Amino acid sequence: MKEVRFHGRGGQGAVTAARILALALFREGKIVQAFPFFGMERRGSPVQAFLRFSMVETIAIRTYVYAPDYIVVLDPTLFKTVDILSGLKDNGLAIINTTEHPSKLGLKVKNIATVDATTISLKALKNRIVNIAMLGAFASATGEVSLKSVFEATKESFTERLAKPNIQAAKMAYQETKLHNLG
Amino acid sequence: MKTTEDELLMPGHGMCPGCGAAIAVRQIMKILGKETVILLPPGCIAPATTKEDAFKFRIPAVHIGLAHGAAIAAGVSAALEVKGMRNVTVLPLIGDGGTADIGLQALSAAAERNDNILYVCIDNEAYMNTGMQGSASTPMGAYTTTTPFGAMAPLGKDRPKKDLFKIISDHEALYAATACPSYLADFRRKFEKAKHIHGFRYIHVLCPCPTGWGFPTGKTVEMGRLAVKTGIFVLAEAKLGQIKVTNKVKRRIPIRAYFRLQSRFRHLKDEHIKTIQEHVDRRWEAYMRCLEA
Amino acid sequence: MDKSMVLTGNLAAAYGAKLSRPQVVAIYPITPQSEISEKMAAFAVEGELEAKVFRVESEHSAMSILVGASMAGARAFTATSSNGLFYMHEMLSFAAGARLPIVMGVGNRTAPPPWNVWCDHMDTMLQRDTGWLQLYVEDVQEVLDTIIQAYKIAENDEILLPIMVCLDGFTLTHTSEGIKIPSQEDVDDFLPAFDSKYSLEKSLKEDKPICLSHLSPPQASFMEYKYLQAEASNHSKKIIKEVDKEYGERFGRKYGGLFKEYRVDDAEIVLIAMGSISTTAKAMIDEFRKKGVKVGSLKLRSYRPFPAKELRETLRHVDVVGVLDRDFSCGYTGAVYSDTAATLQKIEDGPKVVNFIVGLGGRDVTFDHFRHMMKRLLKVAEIGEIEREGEWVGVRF
Repeated sequence: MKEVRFHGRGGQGAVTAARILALALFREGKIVQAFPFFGMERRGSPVQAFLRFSMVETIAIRTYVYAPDYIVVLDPTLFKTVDILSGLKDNGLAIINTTEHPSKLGLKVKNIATVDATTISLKALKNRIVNIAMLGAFASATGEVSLKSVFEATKESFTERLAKPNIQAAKMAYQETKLHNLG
Repeated sequence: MKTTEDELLMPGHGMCPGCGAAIAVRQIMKILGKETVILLPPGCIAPATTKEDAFKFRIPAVHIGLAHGAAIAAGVSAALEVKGMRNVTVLPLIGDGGTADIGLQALSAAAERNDNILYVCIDNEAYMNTGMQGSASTPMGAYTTTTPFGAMAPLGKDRPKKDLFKIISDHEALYAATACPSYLADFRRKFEKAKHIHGFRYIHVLCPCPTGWGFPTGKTVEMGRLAVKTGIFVLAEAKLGQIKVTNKVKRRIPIRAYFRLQSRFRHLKDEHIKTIQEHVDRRWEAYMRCLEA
Repeated sequence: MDKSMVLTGNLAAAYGAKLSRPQVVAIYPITPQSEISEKMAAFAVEGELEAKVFRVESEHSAMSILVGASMAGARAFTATSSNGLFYMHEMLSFAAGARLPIVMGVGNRTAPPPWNVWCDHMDTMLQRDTGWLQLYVEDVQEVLDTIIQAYKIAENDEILLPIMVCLDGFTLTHTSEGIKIPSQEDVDDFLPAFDSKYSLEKSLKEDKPICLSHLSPPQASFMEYKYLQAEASNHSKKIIKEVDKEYGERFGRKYGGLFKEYRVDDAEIVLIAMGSISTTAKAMIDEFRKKGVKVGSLKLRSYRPFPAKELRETLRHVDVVGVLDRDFSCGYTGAVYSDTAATLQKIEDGPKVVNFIVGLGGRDVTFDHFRHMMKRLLKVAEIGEIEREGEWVGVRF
């Protein structure tokens, strides 16, 4: 079983991202469990969402995710207020929306993937909602889900008008995501 | 962050950017001053201001339930009076769901008994905090998650908004009024007046909500102005049932100008807008007749 | 044909309700079940739900409307939580006493103050004696399946009692899992239309005037009516088991009827829990089994009717039972513990029973909490004595 934690701000679609990724993995035959940090956060406040997925065994746990294998960060301004790396497994991977080079982020993490999802979303969606783009980044960086499944799950969850540009954003992010090993 | 002494709602609360209720509450606090007890039910304001580690008022507050705003307030007020504290304003700040729906029984009773409270309805026209479900105060034609539009209901909400100001006026309450923070002078005058009356007072405040109504966060004040200029929201007051319009709009603008700026009305077709316009016209005429009488 | 979707517990409840073809539905928002109300409204407006959907002004009216509808002969549904449930409390006794097979989804949430919208079982525990049957579910699939099962149980001629299907607030209401949705045809086959014998509809159609909820003074048959109500609820244990079995045969999923055991057969220590923490309990059982400790867990699904005899039979051989309560009865201790200990103590040389109060107000019940509880139970097993009858686990004093 693998565990993922998403970090975003209210209104950025972190919870939706977890849900759509869950759907993508489910359609690939995995067992999934996705849920938000249970709070009443206003637009702009930091939010977290969680996802567990497993190929074989049922997921026999219903606590919060305390030791994620993957962390996905939608909003780089969160570093200042939230300990986004909290509990990340030793060989875990952080996937971050940023324009900076990972060595400049000041994060104590070995494995990190970066992508400028904001620019991609501005191009594809004409807004800064990067959640689906980051799913493309996830697919690329982890290999845990196929990009095609992300596309299908997005189509299943959104109207056609919304799905098309989001799929475009996911595709671009998939191509531009870079993996780094900071040792 | 430094604040002036009259600032009783502290910065750093969790209400949405552009929240009309936040503007209203802040102004109300400045006018009512420190001799105030505020009662907040589940809604937009309470979770944002009454957290265990982030209490944002400089006056005593209680997080109450939803159905009993007027009743709990009456109890607080009566006890304070027994203790010789006649001049404290007991302020239940209740949303439109808690006023037009579940709290109407208690509100009506408090008005009838003339309980000494200043009941303020914070009207953002839906149960916004729980995700925008419809209330009796949701206007005709508005989309909410429980008045969705579709094959069976093209308008979304197809019944009119309850006119709570009129209902309370009909109770011959000592003082009832409508207000909107977009008209600040009128707003201040009414709260100042209400502060000095002993007995049951009701002020119904329209609070535009960018998150729920679907407009940019910088347009809150403009949205309130349009609500009044279309005649959809009438600024008025009533003493013992005698209604007086306090901001007579000489030539109302068509409601379309208001509707087209909010995504909650986006589904309406021309014939729906026509129906709603006729309804707004009728209500406006009724208010104008109050003036003549 | 089954459809498969990823849904939250709230949406699963809405789909389960929709498939059950309610004729009258009442909706009102309250965290954490507002999504159920929204989805029922959405179904109705799209023509997918042939029901009169009331957007009510309060939960008291929600249950009042359903009582009226059910008395007239219609199948009825609503959902609520916590303070909403408290506001309809008067009408809960009414529904049960009037023998109305209403089904209600409850997103379990605590009883404030302090203000708190998160999960524990206080809200439904406080309704324990209203006469409603209570089924507690563990995962999102079970939410959907149990609502359908509930109508079949409730409408059984020998039962005719209302049922609340309890799903943990947030941990189930807001959690998305992949589930199967049965087809309408299959559900119709399993759950035929509601045909009540004692309705206002029948009274009018057959021109046989009846008086529902008639005045019944002490010397009349009040106590006899209550006896029949009690008998029906006892008998419902059998029906709950049968309906779950039949559901399993038809849809391929069943939930143990009154409770579901996990590695209990040869266990020396057993944990009892209700709701979503039953899932985490199983992971703990596996962890301790790997260390060679003979432990098991039991997910209590039916709290009312309380399966006293069945629990005695199943746990007779066990040395120590730890009962997890996500509630407490101020002035005594956990409710599930009280009922469980009372019945297990009837067994000569039976298990020692210990109470743990956990997860109040949504406090996460973690692996560490479980490990602590296990240690306690192992100690009791070792020394053969209960040091502390009850303990609050995870509290910061």
